[in-house]
Amino acid sequence: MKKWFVLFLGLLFVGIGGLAAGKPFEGVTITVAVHSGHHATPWYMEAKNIKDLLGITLNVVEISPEEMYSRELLELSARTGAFDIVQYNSAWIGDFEPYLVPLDDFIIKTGDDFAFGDYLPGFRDFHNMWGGKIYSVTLDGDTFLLYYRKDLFENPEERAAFKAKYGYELPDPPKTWDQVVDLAEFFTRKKGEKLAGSVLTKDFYGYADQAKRGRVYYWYLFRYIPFSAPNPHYFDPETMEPLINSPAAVAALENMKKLLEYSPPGVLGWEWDELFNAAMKDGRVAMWIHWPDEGRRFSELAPLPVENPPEPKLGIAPTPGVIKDGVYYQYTLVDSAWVASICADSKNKDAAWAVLNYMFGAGAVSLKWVMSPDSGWDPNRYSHVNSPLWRAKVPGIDKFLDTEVQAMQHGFPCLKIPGAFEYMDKLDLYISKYLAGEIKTAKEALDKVAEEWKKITERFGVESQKEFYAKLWQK
Amino acid sequence: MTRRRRGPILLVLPTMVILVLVVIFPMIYSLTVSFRLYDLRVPRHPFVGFENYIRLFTDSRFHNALGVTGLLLLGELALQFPIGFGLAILLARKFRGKKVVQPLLLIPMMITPVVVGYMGRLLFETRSGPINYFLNLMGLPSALWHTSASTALLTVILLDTWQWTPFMMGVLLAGLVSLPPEPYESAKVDGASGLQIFWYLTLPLLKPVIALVIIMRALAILQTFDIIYVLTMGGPGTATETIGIYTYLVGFRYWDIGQASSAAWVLAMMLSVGVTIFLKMMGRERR
Repeated sequence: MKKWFVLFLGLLFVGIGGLAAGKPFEGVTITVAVHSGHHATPWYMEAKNIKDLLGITLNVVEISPEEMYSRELLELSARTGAFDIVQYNSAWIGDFEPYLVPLDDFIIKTGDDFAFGDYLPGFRDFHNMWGGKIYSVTLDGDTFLLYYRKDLFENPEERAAFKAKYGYELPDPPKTWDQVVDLAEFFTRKKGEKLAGSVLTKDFYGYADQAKRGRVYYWYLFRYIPFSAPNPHYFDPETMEPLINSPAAVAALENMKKLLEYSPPGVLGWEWDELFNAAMKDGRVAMWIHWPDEGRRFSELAPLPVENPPEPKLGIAPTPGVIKDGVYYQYTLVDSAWVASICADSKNKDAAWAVLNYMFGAGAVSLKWVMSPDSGWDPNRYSHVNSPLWRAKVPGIDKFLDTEVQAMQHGFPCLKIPGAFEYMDKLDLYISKYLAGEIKTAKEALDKVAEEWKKITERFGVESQKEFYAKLWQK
Repeated sequence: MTRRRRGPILLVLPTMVILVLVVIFPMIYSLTVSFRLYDLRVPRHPFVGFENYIRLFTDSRFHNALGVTGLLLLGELALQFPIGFGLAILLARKFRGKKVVQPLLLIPMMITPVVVGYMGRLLFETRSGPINYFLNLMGLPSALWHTSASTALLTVILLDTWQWTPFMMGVLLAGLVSLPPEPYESAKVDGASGLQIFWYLTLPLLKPVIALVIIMRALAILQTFDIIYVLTMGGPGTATETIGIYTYLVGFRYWDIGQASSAAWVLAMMLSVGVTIFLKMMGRERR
């Protein structure tokens, strides 16, 4: 009897041990601060799976995007331990770094089950890495791509007319900003004129930027970065002197103003909706640069506004570059989108890592949520963009996914040092003033920006900003 | 303290406590913040005296914001008051369909300003907005509205006027219908014309209401934020950057809470002075 009792006890312990091994964090609660709305959906939807698999209870705290920075920074800097995981904009890493833990050790400790190397290079280098360490995992692979009317660019009559006028083959896709100017001039036509062999029913425009005050600086950076090749920088890394008023920077801004001539009236007031609607729903723009939304929603492209339109076809390409001394330079601005990190004052860091690993590690879960329109998250891993599942489920998505890979080979970061928003807002302000005609020359506008940038750098401390700026580039 | 005196004090005490916590404390706190270098990203917030105020008054962008705010105030009042007064006079009369027209006219002020901002973006859309469509039908060219530095502020004024004239109309109408009938009857007996009655009776009798409604609208105009935020974000350039937008950007985008507090206090001071002068002027005329 005693023997049987000992055997029973032994089996009981083995059983409990087995269960515990299956749910390694039974009883642990992980609090995660997330962007309210659609960003929170995946967390809620996966909470039960996380509980079943890891034993972790997920406590999701939704914070509106407007108060995310201040609320999270206040909790982190006061070391309240309110959050184990924070979702934040990767541009805030300069301010958040002291309160987060690097993830290198967690990745190594768990046998790189996460597959960190699977991230597309642009996101890996400029979302996740900071000062040579891995600080975050990417949720949303936001970036920018060039979209164009492939149905128009492929038209034989248009191709012949372009070659006759400009002396070179109509570039499909456009690869340089000079080509974009030629193409924009070529395709800007009035209602009643012919386009793609048919009569236009509305005015048609060669190019459009999202130029409303607030985010117009992005559209300038698309030019500033390649124009500043071969070694583009926001500041001189040695002195922190702004490079934003260099001759290349001025040429980039002049290019922006030049393209306004071929843009629809009113682009200075255009935000996301206006550009998306004019280009995709109204079909009145030949080329534009935007986030991945159009790439994912390629089938929504409206026909050209002509009497007998060809079948709509959206062209997708990396943003244009420049040719300097015979060398082609192309960079893709990696939007400082949403990432997640583990807080230094979390009492359950291993459990927090297990949650991040479950949600964003390579595999079916993260793929499901970047494929889903409910999350608003864009692909960021090779396993996302090469997924046979996605390609089979959405015929025609290949072009977008392939272009993402291509674009992310040459990523360029948004500014992420302390005060990043202030630097960019000053840039935005003077670009807006120049485009609106409040400032006469591009040089004058950018000199003002450089002056403001110097003041901000001095306020934060030149040496300290220099250190942060160096961290931006350390891989 | 006697029980008789203690009773009323106990009754107003909860209100006083709430007032102190919700109104007085934040005001005093923001005043102290305006004398500190208060950056949310920096743990220490040293006392810097009037530095924030000096930075504010030497900032050309703040000067621009003052100008834009002043133009917005004058432009809106110049449109909203006469239109609102005119509509109130019309509605004070009896006519068929009044019960339908009156509530219809009040609808705009019931809409959230953010929604009005988005409506503005659609209505004034340069390419395919209905306003330009009607202009084109009349043979006029499309206007750039909020997308041009020269017409953006006008667009904000028009949109705000559409939303808030009904408020002006409603308050003035309430004033008109509550005026005593006797002076009017006497004036009519004395043979006064309609214009004379309006000028020498209605306007003087309505002055307290006019003062009230102008002050209320002026205060609201100076705090205009939502519509501009959605419609132009202060742009193009700084064409529609009011003190409200300026303060928001400095405080909640640059995290310079010290300077934002000083801007808010300057605005509050200007409001107090303005309102006091206006009330004195109205009082002097009444005497």
